[in-house]
Amino acid sequence: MQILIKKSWEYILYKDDQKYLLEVVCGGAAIFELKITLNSKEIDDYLSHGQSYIDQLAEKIRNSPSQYLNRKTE
Amino acid sequence: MIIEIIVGLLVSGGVLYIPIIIQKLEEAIFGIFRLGWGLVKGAARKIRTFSRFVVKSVKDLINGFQEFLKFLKGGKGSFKKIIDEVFDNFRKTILKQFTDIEFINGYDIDKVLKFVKGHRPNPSEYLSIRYIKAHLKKFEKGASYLVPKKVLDDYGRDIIGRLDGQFVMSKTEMDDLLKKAKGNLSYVEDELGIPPGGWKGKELIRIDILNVKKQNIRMPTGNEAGANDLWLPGGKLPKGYSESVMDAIKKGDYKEISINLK
Repeated sequence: MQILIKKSWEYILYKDDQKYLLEVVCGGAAIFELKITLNSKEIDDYLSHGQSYIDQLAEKIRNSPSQYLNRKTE
Repeated sequence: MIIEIIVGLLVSGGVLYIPIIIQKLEEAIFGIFRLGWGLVKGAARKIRTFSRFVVKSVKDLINGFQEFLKFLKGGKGSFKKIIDEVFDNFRKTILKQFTDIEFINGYDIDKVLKFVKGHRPNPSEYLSIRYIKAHLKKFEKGASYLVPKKVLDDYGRDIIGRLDGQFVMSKTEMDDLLKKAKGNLSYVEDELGIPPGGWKGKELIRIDILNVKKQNIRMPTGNEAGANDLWLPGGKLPKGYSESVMDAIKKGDYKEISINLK
């Protein structure tokens, strides 16, 4: 699995074959990681806008992790 | 999606912030659906006892959601009144739980939470100096936080924690929490707002920082990167634990302790 972007204590974006996986560091005094597989629109947005798009997506996940729990992947 | 649906349907004119509503919905409403729709069908009075029911996890909330939708369809006119009563109970519960927070300048929890993240005021604008001092005093014996070992492995151990401020609990409260947990992972997840199973199979590390003054310990503003939609003003976690924020911690200024939760 290739690491495409790594932002310290924020997130890591991986590429695994054709899949893009985003692992975000969530929480405060109790930290947990939430990893999701990017959908096709998110992949398109990433390929169009680059890291700034992933920064925003990671922030959304970090701010409201509960909204992304149904997309959690291992 | 659940949050948006529930709030959209139920909270027109509501006065509580969404995360609080969801937390209290989780605690107060959805438990009843686990008991079965038949229990409440056509029994409005029984529905008013929602707030006495407790579910233990978001998983339960999700499992109960289908029954909840059925309930919405069948609730008709009496439903709004019932929900208003439930929300009133939520509000009372919240205020009762956090009465020790000394707000100033006309602020309260709701008013602070109306500011979106990134625009929240400095705590000294809405909290008394006495309260802030007393709060930070709880951290004099040290501060702690929990983190999966993998995060430390991924990002390194030279400087740990978020650069714009790492949330910590008081070491004393962390000691008490882990003592009460008796090794039970689900208990700790629930107490600290971790999604159920979020730490399952993970090796967990407790970080202890003894010299908190060196780390510029301070009251959280809610603008920190680590502040999510469960954040509350006054340095409180939803279950009442005390939290503060400090600068990221250099190697040598913290202890890394492996903990065993199953």
